[in-house]
Amino acid sequence: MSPFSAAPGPGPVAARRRPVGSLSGSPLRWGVLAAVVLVALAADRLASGWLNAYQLHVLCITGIAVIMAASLNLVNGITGQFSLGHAGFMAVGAYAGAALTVKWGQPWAIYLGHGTPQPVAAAASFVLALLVAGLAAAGVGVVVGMPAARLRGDYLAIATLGFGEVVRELLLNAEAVGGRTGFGGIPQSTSLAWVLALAALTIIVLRNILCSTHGRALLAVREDESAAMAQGIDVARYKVGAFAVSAFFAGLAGCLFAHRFCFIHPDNFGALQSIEIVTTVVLGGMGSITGSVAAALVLGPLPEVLKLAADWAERASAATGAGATAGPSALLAAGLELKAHPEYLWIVYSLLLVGMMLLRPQGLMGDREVSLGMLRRLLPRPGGGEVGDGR
Amino acid sequence: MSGPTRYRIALVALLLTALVAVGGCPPSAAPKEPVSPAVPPPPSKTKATSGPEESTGSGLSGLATAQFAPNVPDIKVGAYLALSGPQATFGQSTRKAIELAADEINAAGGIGSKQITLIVKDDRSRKEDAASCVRMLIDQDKVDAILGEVASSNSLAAAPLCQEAGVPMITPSSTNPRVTQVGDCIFRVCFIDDFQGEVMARFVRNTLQAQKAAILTDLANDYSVGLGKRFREVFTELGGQIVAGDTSYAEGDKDFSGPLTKIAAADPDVLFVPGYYTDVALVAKQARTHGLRATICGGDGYDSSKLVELAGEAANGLYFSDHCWKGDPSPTVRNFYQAYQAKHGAEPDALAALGYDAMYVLAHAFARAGSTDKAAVRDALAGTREFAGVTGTFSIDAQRNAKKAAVVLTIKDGAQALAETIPAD
Amino acid sequence: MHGGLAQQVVEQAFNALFNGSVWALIAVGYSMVYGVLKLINFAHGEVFMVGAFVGYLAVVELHWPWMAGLGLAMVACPLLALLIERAAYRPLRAAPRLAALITAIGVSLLLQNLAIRIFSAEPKGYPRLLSDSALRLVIIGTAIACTVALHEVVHRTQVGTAIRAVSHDREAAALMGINVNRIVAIAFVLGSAAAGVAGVLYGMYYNVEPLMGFRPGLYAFVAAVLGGIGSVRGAAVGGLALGILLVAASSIAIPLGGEAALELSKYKTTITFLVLTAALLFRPAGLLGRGQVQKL
Repeated sequence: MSPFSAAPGPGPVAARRRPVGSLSGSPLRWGVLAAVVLVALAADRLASGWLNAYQLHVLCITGIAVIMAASLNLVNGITGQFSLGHAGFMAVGAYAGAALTVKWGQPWAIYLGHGTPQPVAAAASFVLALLVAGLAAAGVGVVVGMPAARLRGDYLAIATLGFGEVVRELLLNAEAVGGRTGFGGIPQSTSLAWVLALAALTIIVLRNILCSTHGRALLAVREDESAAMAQGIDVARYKVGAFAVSAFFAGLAGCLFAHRFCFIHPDNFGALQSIEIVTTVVLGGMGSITGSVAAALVLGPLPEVLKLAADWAERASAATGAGATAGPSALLAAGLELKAHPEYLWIVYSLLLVGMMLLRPQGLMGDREVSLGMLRRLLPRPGGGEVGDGR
Repeated sequence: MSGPTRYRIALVALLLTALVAVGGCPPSAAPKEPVSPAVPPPPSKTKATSGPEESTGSGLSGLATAQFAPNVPDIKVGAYLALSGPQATFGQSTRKAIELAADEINAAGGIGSKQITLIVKDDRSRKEDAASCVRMLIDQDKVDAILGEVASSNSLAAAPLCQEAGVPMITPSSTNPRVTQVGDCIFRVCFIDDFQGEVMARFVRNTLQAQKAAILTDLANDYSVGLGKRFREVFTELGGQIVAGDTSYAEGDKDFSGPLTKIAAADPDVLFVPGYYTDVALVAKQARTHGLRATICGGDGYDSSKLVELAGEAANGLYFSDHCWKGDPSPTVRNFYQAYQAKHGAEPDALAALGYDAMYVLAHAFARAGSTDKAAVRDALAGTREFAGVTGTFSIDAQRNAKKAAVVLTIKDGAQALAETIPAD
Repeated sequence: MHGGLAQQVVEQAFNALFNGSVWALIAVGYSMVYGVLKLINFAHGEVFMVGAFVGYLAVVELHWPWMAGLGLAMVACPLLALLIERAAYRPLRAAPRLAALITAIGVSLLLQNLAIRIFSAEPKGYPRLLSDSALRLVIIGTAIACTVALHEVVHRTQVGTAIRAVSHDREAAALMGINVNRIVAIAFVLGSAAAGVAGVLYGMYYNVEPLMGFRPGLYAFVAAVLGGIGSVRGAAVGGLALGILLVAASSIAIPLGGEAALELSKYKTTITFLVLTAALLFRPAGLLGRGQVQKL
């Protein structure tokens, strides 16, 4: 048995060095989980007091984008398999979760007993919906991953793009979940707390995977499949696993999306959305979870921010009359031009993509993560000590 | 069970309960609009309703002089439309007309001397953006009423938000019956697909004397599929026969040779294609090439000045149901036509006419309500009777739809011509 | 023209031929570029679109005859393709394939959105220059002519031999004294000229819009793969195969007993991609390709 196929866990310390920052096997992880939940709840309470419903909505959208980008990074960046159909997994999760809540949400109140207050029953139903959404998406991820494991680079990209389109077509024809009219009537269970908690969970789990032996196997698959195979790594199994895990989180994001917008339609999960997520991952740095998160935090709310800017420009120019051509008026003109032609956003994205590949193919963060090791390296150390593992 | 495991389970249970108890509560940031009792209209405005329905107001009459609550600075009306993306032509048309209407009203003194502030948002033809735009309009811009959208799916995406916040929403052109079923704050000023499908089925059967018809729908578009279903129902009820099964294409498809050859083999008298003009133009062009002699018919999706450019000669002889006809000699229509043409240098289409009417209907509802109180405006909208608009004279019925006449238009020598007018029932 | 099943089948076969010709014309470009660079040129569909717009502008704005518009597209598209190759693909020739793939996607998106900005998203139509039936014959004829011509070039000329050498092994070809950059450029020129022709003819038949390149680009790629990517004949065969598949999928209804029938036209995309995946898994070299030994 090669050392790479051993499961992580407590063992002779000499045989493996636990990467810095990983909490596997440590009782501390339950504390971290508790902290995540409490921080999410606190942030929600705080934000609800300060922000209006629209601004909370934008934060939720951003959080969902973070989950999508981070989960896609597992496949595209860490395993090196270029998937262009991630929105398809999101769709599966969204529809599965929504179908459960809308069609079978009620029985949970009965299950838990008639005395259960409505919020508890609704939330329990939501937890179940999330689980079902994630697992359904993961199942589809396995189905997609199996043939995908045998396809190479460019072909895989087209095949995954096709997968996204197939999901969309199947959903358009699925009358039971609304089909081409859309699926409405979904209760708005997604609050900022849920989004924050699940985003944090996604990042933590992905980080743990990355820092574990499984993560190293995935990186080996990315770097050189043949060498990895020679080392005894079951490449096909790891590829399918990567698809499955990444699809699971995409499914969670989809369920969050469905319960936030309360109305879903196959057009919400098309090729356009897949390409948006891929752009986020590429610009943030394929292989860096921090990079994906950072890019999603910027690019997620960007369309809304631009809308606000364009609206401001329109109001300002209406107030001052026909714009002159000096200083701030140039900014106003730019804002007006943007309002009239939103395709500028995509022109900029595509130029960034091409520019990135030509000048800095590793993206914003490259392969690096913000980690305790990196922070430790930045601080002066008393003795020599081991070099912290920044990856 | 070992010690630590028990504690872990307890901790997880505690966390879940905390999350459920707190996170599961509805967010406190968006309190529902309190439903206040409707403000009774000022006594001078009540009319005894006996005998035939009297109009609750049309055009500019009575707007500037309406009694209005003094403490509001202006009336904020929001609109969410597709100003870019694949449905941009629909959204732009509607926006221009809404703006025209708002400008006219403001120039004539506003509503009760309050000006209308129009806030238009672009949803980029995307449904999730439609919801975000409406969120923005309701919570950030704090509008008093909302106009939008054209495509029914987009309206369906945003209507629940308006309903939940109690903000009245009028869709100018969404024809799917489900839109107004979302709640009592959602209205429309156009007819619904059930009516439109029936109109065309009757026209095709009775006026065109068609015995056999084939249907080609856009499977990606609920408007198309809904119209097709209704047409099939009524046509078969009237004794017609549907041939060539249930062929469909997907939005954006360019090549219809497969379905058209199949349909041509069944030799129908009429081919019903209830899609958007971009696809229909290609169907019409290709139909001739495949030997189809059938007359091609459809719905209001055909209404566009571009149809003739895109279909060329094949556009002649198409029939389609629509909301209004620009050749109508009535002064309301003529004035609108001239004003739109003068301001935008292009001919208005039916979507523009509907947008224009929607704005005026809303304005009159504000005038009758006498304030920006959303519940009052909602009630006033529901009470709209005999509104004389560009798209006909209509009332808002109990399902919050507009009962109005339809016209059947045709293309003759590259221009729209009237074939028939169908009254409201 | 309405007759029995036999006549329908004949007509549908002709439809398939016509359909397939379009895909073949575009697929040839994919094949040539993939052959020399081992890169799926995602921007190829957009080059096709630019060709259509160039032809449209020539005919509608400059009032040229349509063949002159065709000629202009045959010049403009290669120029555009060369620009893309020089600016975006050549610097990344040594980089990992993924980088080139992402760049190709970026260029594709850039061209689409520039076209939307300049022309607005709505479709535009050509004035009636040729009857539609005549146009169909022109398209089929052009496809056949182009494929034959390119096949001759690749297999009978010296340049063609160089192209085949570079496809086989770029380094060895360079060692033989072949100017790889020049050959790559020639491959781009040939492929894009075909795409430009396809664009103009397609635009005349199906109208012109900025996003018109996305679907045909995808389908042409499927065609190229089905037939055997890297080979001109493969592009033609693949195009035909895809044409048959699409026409069949859009008109066949499988009877399910009684009145009900399963309309395959509702599942065109699904069927196409299932076929593609099956082809990639079971016959990755395509219908005409030779099995390649995967060297470790």
